[in-house]
Amino acid sequence: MRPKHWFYVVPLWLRSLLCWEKVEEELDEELRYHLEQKIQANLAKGMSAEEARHAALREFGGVEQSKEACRDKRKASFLRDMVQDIRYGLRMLRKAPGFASAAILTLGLGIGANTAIFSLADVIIRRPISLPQLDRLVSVSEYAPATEDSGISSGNFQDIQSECQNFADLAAYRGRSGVLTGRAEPEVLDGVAATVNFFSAIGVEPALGRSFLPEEGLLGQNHVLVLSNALWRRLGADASVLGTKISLDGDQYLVIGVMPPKFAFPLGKVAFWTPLAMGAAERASRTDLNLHTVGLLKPSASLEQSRSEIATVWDGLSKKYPRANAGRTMQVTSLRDQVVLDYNRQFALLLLGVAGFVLLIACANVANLQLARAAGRQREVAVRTAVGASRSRITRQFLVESFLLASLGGIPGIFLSQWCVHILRATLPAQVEEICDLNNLAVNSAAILFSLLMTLLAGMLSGIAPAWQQGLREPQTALKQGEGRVLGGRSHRLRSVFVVSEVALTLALLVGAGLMIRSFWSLAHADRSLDPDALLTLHINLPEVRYAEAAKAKAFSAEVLSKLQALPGVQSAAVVSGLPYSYYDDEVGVRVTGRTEVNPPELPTAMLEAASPDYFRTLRMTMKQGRGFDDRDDTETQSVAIVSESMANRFWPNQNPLGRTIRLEGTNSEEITVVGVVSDVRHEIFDRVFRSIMYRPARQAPGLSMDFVLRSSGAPRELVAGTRLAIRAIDPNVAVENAEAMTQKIEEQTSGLRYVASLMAVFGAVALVLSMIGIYGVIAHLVNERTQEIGIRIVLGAKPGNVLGLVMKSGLRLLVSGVVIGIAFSMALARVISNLVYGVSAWDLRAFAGVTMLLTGVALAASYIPARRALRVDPAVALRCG
Amino acid sequence: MSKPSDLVQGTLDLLLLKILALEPMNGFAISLRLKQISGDVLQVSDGSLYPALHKLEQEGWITAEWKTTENNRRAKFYSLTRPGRRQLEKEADNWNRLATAISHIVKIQEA
Repeated sequence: MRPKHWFYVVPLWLRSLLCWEKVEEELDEELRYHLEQKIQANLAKGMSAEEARHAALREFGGVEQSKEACRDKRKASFLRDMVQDIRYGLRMLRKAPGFASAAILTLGLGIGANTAIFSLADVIIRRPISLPQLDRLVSVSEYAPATEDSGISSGNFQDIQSECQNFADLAAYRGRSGVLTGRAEPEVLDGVAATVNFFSAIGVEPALGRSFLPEEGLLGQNHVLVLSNALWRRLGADASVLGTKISLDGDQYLVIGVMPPKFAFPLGKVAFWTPLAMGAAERASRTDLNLHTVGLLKPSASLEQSRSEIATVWDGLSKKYPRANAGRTMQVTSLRDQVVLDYNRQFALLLLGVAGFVLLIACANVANLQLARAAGRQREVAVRTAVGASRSRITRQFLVESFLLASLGGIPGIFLSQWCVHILRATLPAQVEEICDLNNLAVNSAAILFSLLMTLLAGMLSGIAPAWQQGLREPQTALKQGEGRVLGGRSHRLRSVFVVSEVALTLALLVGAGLMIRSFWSLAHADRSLDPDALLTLHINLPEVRYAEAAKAKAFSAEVLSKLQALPGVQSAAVVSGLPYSYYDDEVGVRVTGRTEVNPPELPTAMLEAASPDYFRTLRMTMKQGRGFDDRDDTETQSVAIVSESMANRFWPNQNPLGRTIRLEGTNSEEITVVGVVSDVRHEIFDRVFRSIMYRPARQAPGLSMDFVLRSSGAPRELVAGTRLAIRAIDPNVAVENAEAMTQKIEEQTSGLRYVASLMAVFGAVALVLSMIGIYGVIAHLVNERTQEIGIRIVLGAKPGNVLGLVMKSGLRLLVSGVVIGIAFSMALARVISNLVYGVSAWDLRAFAGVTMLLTGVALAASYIPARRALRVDPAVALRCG
Repeated sequence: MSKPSDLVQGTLDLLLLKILALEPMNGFAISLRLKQISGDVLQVSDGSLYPALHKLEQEGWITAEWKTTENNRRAKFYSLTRPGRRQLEKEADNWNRLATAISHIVKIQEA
């Protein structure tokens, strides 16, 4: 339509919308004028007054129909009707406050929960990190398929940095830690060492002070640092900290900047950033994949362009350095994809799906309530139809009411979701911050849009069946018959369909929750033999500067061990390179003497642990063969090793491993003799098989990083203070990390799973309550409806048991159909879950049976309560009411 | 025999626009004029005249105004708008093309 049209048309729309009464009056007047003129003309022809009037009306042909046709021409009449429907709907809802509040509450909770979960999924999947130019940030990495190593070497990074044209900036970084001293307790902090262009590449500058200068990337000039906002606050939140020095790892670092409050990159609890400075050898290395990159694409460059450019450059580098760069590829991924692992995405989608199930159940419940209420509205609908409302108008009226209910629930639902997000934020395990930036967790515009969509969907789902059913009804029958008896088989079938699908969805949800809980449980309690409740662990990383000599480190650990063993309440104490569940992962290639030589990538590997003699005893591991370590295993004696059972089976299948000799790849290649075999221990919580572990005496293979473990006779936490004191007495500048019970380590690692399991359990419980309300409603309605029939049966001599059975049978039928369909549903869901989590099979009979029993029990109770009412039916009253 | 007039009645819009192009008129006068022009060939009941007028008004082709008639009564007078005039030209063109085509066909059959 051209603008000139609008000049005439828009005022008409507004008039018919806003001054409907006036427009109606004018229509009346216009037609009245016509008729009067006609009558006048007829009178002039000589008709009588009566005749003239009849003739005029006859010729006009239906004044009301003509008016209605004129109204239909008005463009705004649709809106007008809508407003009328809404007003009418609100009036009807006010007349049924119980129904309305139940429906609004149900839908509001469903929509609110969905919006909250959507916000969480949104953070995990779409906005895990908040950097201003996230869409243009990428990461370049080398990948070695044979070892699954990924990262980038310094040499290759520098070549890419200088050769690629598609990057506006390309920075490299790696994690580091630092022991902060000079305060009450030495403290280990996580930090990042990054090339000097790091902050400009990610597009965030310090809020206070400055970022790195180019010359600060050189060795000797790199002792400057930028503080995280959280660390700055802990240090007193004083701007004058800039320019002062902080003692880190025994070196003095100049504080040059403080990052803004909500900055988190890389994810995790990074406390400081220092410039990355490397020695000449490391700088030139092409095999050490110890760096990560973050690059900003130029506005003109796409990810694909950058991929093809990197492919070309990598091709050149592989030809130029065929030996060093052999067996690897180089890839470019968007930074977002690098952070959002498939695993995280699937968990987020699983939760979203589960929340969706709950909303579906809520919708089914509201639809059921509407159908039940429709029985009482037969007369009203019939009267409206009789006075001219079309079927489509009636259908629309019912739909409008559902949408009203959904919006009345959905809009408070948005506020509710805000509250839910607060709860999520408060209860989410700390580990979540390693996969996403929780600062982004909020009900944002996308979430609000989502909740509006959910509201529309809920209105549609809960209203379409009742509306459709109302439209089908014949007004005459409704007017003729009494209330409540008109509901035919169709309505019952519909209601049954809803209850059956509720039961099915609930069963699936509960099975899902059950599987999650079982998985979590089996992970957390798999190591009873270890008796983790009595174990205290602590980690020490000796500073390289002062403990460069192996003898010093050895002396330190021996001294600590003897002091710890002497502490009251300590049954035994041991030291090891890395305890189970501590993310220790030091694998070495192992050459078995006498075997055909193979090259490093194919060489079998084992995890190397340097352990003190009491280690096996402390962890309650048992010697399967040979001997354990003792204090005589030292540098002067034979180099020995004890292997885990799995390693023995892998390296020497069906052979006696004792007395065999091996060499470790990449070390000074001394010959090591296997002197014992020890029982397996699960090393990481998600390990599906036992790893090959080779233990060496701590005295023969000392390291700077060590885990102490104590078996206490009481609660391990009570030992913490004493151990700290003992270690301080030996070296006050050594930081004691992760002083915690072993149980706590296990709990931390399973906390994500436990959280998902408990969320699913909560959703499952809500679903259970909702579907029980559904069953209750249907049975109660059934009893009401069949009161007369039951009365007759009682008069004819039916026993209470027969009557009860009659009613319960209908409930049972719904239940059985729901359970059968639900089991099919659950199997699909169980497959998804069993791919996601450890220790769950899709055919977990115990979970299926348990959940089915729970559901059946609760459902029988829900139908028994209304069924009992049937027993109290007084035949005299029942028959009279009919 | 209302068959031949069905086709013509489809062009009620065109007729109304044309009538109003001559001078602004109220509904009663339009109904008289319609009968006067086309005799009994066009059977437009008064009841369907008004919806047609209201439709043209909603389209923005005609606009209405309350004025007093010669015998001092208030009546709703319709008049053509600018877009209405353009619409009239368009519909008249269409009509002429259709009429020419049909009369050609009719003549061919006669010959």
